[in-house]
Amino acid sequence: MRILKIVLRNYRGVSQRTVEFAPHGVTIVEGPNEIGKSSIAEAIDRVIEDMDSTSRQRVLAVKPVDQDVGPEVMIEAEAGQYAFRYRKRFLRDRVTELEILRPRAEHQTGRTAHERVQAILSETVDMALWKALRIQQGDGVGQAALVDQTSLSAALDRSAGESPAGDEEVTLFDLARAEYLQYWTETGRRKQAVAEMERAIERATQGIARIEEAIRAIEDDVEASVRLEVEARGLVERGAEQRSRLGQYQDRVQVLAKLEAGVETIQARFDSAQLAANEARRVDKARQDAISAMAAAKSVRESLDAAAQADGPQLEIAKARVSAADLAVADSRAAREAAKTLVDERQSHLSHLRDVADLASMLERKDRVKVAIAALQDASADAAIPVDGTVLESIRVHHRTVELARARLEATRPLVGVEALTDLVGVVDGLEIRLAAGSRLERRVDQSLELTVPGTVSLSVVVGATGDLSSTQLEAAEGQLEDLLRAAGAADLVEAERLHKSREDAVRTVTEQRRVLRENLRDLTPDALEERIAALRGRMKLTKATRAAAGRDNEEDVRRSTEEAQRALDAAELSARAAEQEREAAHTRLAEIEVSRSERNAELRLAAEELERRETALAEERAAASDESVAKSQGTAERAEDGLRAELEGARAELAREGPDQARETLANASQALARVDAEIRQVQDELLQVTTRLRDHGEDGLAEDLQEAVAARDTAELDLRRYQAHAAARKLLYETLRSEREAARRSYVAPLRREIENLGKIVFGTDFAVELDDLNLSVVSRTLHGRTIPYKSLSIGAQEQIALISRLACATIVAPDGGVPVILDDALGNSDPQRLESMGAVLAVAGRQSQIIVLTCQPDRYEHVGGAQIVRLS
Amino acid sequence: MPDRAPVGITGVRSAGKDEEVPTVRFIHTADLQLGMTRRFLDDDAQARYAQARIDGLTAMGRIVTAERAEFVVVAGDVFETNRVRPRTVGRALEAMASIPVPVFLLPGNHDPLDAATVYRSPTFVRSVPPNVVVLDRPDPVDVRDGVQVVGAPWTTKRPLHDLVSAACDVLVADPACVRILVGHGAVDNIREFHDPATIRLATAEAAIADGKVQYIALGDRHSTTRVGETGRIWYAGAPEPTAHDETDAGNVLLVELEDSACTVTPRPIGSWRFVAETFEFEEESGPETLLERLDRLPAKDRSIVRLTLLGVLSLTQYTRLQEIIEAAREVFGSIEEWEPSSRLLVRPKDDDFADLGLSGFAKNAVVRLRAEAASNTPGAEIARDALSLLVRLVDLRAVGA
Repeated sequence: MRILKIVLRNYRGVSQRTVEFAPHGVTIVEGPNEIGKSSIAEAIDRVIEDMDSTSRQRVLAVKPVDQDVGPEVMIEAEAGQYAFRYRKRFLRDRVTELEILRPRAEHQTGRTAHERVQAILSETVDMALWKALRIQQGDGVGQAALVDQTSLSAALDRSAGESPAGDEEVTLFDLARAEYLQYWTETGRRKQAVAEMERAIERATQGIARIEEAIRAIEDDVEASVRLEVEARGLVERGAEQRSRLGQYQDRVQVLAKLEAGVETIQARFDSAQLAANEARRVDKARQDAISAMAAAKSVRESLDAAAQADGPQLEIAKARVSAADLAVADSRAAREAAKTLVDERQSHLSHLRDVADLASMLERKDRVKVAIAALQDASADAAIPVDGTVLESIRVHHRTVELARARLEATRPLVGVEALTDLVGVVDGLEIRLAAGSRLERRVDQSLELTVPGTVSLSVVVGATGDLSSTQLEAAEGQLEDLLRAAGAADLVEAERLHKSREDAVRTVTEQRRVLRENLRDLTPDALEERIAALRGRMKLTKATRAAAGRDNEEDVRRSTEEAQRALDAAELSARAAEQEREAAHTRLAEIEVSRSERNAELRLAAEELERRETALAEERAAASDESVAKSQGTAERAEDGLRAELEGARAELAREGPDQARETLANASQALARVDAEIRQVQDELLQVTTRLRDHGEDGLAEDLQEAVAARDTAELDLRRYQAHAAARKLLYETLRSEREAARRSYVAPLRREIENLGKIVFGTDFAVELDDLNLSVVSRTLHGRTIPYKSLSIGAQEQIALISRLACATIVAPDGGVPVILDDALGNSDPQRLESMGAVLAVAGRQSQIIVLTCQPDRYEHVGGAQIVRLS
Repeated sequence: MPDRAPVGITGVRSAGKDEEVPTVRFIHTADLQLGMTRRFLDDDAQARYAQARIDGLTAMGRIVTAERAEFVVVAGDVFETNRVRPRTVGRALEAMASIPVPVFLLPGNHDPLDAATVYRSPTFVRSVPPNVVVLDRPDPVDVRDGVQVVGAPWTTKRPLHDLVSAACDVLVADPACVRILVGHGAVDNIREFHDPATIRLATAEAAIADGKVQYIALGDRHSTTRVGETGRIWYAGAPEPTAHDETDAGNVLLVELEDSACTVTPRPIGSWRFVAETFEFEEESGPETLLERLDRLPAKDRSIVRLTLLGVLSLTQYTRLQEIIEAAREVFGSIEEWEPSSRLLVRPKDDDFADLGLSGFAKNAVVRLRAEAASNTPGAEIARDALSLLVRLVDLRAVGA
């Protein structure tokens, strides 16, 4: 399409304007701001897109603000084979008028005209691409949206050597995609429906398996029932055979039982014969025992009699030994008493001698105690004197203090010196003095001094305050000294020192005498000592006689004789103890002999009684049955026993030969075997009953038909799934093939578009200019210059603006052979420097060779380098 | 067991030598296989198919009346299995009750007289009508004076001997009595079986030659078949066909025994058909020709059609073929393509796409898919389907436009 002319009336601020455009090449419409340049581009849209009856805001907005008139636009254009004039007035006095000049003249108005223009344009112009290639004021540097622009695609298809794909192919693609999405998700996964179908098949298969299992169970039961019936028949036959055998065994056991009864009868008879024989044997033995017992009793009595006679002499010997022992004991006791008496005498004497020595010592101690107590009493008064070392020292200190104070007082007293120039007599403090000429009188003034030389002079000296102070100190010191002396009971220091010495002496005496007392009293008091002495004196009086008898007062002798007496006593005691032991032994022996005699006498008595009893009993038994008859009875009984034993053994042997135990075991075993067979029959019949019950219970479940139905349902489901999968696969293949071909086509677009962009771009950026395009949306991704590749977004605003424009111009160039679309640039290239503006001018001029380019600008110098441009100046 | 009062059991009859052998006329059928389902039938068709088998019994009743038959023997496999639903049993007995003569049922290999037999099921025992007799023992059953039916019932799925021969062995020829032996199983002249239960044809023919039996009614084979040379041993075939491989199913046999003559007349009774259509596509016979052929088939709702398709189709033709088959599914009892022998090739042709007016990437996609469809890879069929879909979408787009 090419726009040849536009006329605006009452459009925004423009009351009337006509602009003509070069059908090829670049038309630059110059003019200051607000002159209405952008209105030109806008007006083209309004006249094409909006009906004259519209009340859309974008149309209301173009009405002049100060006039109530309808805005009007007229364009003259060529599109494909058509050339037409098209005019519209909006809002007021609305008009739509179309005058087609080519290919044949045609005039339309109103809605028909509008629709006719729409039809022409949709037939000849890719309106979307037209809009995409336009740069509006303030659009900045965005790239054109080139994807799915039909005319561009067609042009690019051609450039790529392909037949062009049109809207129809796009629609087909969308349909294929919609089909695809019925079976697949956007991300190419299977739809839930497939999994559900598979699950349903799985469930059906499991159901089939369950039914088959149940059918198998029934078939197993059917087979089991056949087997069990056969088994039951066999068992019943076996049972009958077993029963018949059992009868035979029972008969035999009965015969044997009779045989056993016979044996038992013989056994009973034998048992009783055996008892009789045993009794006869017992009686015979008792008789023999009685006879021998009587003989034994007789022998016992005889031996006891002999022993009793041997006892007499032994008794006599024992009695004599006892008498001798008694005498020996009496003698040894007397000897011991005598020795004891002698020892006592000797010991008493020795004790007296020791008492004498003790008394002498105690009397000496008593005297020393007495002296010491007297000395203590003498010293006690002086020891109580209060002047100890401390007191004395204190008195001494105070005495020195008083002396010092006194000296100090003396020194402070005024010294009055009187030198007699002549001999004179005077009175000093009432005392008359005489002074020879040249002599000197000096006197200390205590408090005051009165010196009178009668008739000549009277001098009075009075001492001031200083003298008073010294005097006071002295008095205080003297007071304290006096207090101390008074307490000490001394008149002065000398006496105090004497008193102190007396006290020290007394204290030493006391200490000494106390030591003497301790040594002599030891643990006693003086009174206790006295009592000891008295006690000793008393005891000595008592022992005087003993001392006289001893005759010797030598203690050593006395001790030696005492020891001798003691040794004699020890020997006597040993003899006495030996005599007593002998007496004890003699008495014991005698007692033993007497006990033995008494016991033997008792035994003898008992033996006599026993013998008598046995003799009596035997006599009685013999009276009842003689020894001969007893022996005969035994023989008879034993013979009977032997006979029966032989009979019993014969019967037993016969029974054993018949084997009764084996017969019984055979019978028992046969009986058990029969019971087992019966049990097995019951078991088999039970099983059979169970099987038939199960078969009856499930026989009518109709499982076979269920199974057939289930299998059919499963097969149908599987068929459905296969069909579904085939459909899904076909859709996937179709969609993916279309998609990959479409993408491949787009990629093939890239090369011609890129070539065109690079051709134009080299004018601006240099011969090594290259760009990379996005395969899918055909936008410029990066620019490469001097070997450096920079992403589009990272380029300077100016470079982005230039490339965006070049890209549009490249598109326009590509579609130009199909009729093309005008490129309208409103206020473009605002960010380009003068040098780039110059080269961009060249680009526009080149592009303009094939496309119609309309530039609207308020800065004509931006485009001064566009060669061959048609200039339209608005004013 | 059901009461046998209507016919009674009197053992081997002794007839006087001067007594004439009567004419006997009866219906021989077998393999009703009631309760059978077919996997290729949908629920609706299955119900109709099952009902047709019940209706077959009613139809037999009509033939009995028309032909004055005296009884009906069913030579085994009355039921598909012993584990049919009580409903199936009940309906079958109800239909049998409508047959105005005795009906003798022989347990076969599908419904043997084992511990789980349907013939002793509560429903059967409760519902069996007086005219229905189960041949549960190999003893002769008197139908009337001079006519006996002898059954060789299966008591297990795997008998260990030839039941028919065993039944013949104990019989003694009786000139005054017509005996019909009813048996089931394969005969050794038709298929070589290593199964001990296989019926020995020689023994069977000997029994006929010896006058022990006058006719042997067999079941098991679903196609009506004369066995051996006597003309007195027959498989009746299934009264309703059950599979494509059956050559002559859908009959019952009207048997007439008179003096030394035996006349066996097959009477068609089946209402369903198994149709195997082989169709080869050629230049002049495309999908529309197939459609015409399908249209000409009678009783479509009771036809189970198996199509074997041969030849080469263009994509457009293939798309049309699919439409035709999908439409046929709605009408026929069942229609399926017999894949194992199908050698149908789809070769997309230029014409298929010329009208589509595709260009650009879509045109390229078509080229690629065609190449794949023409290849020998497993993906060829998918590519073919994808192309078919594309053709449809182009049409759809045209409609939308």
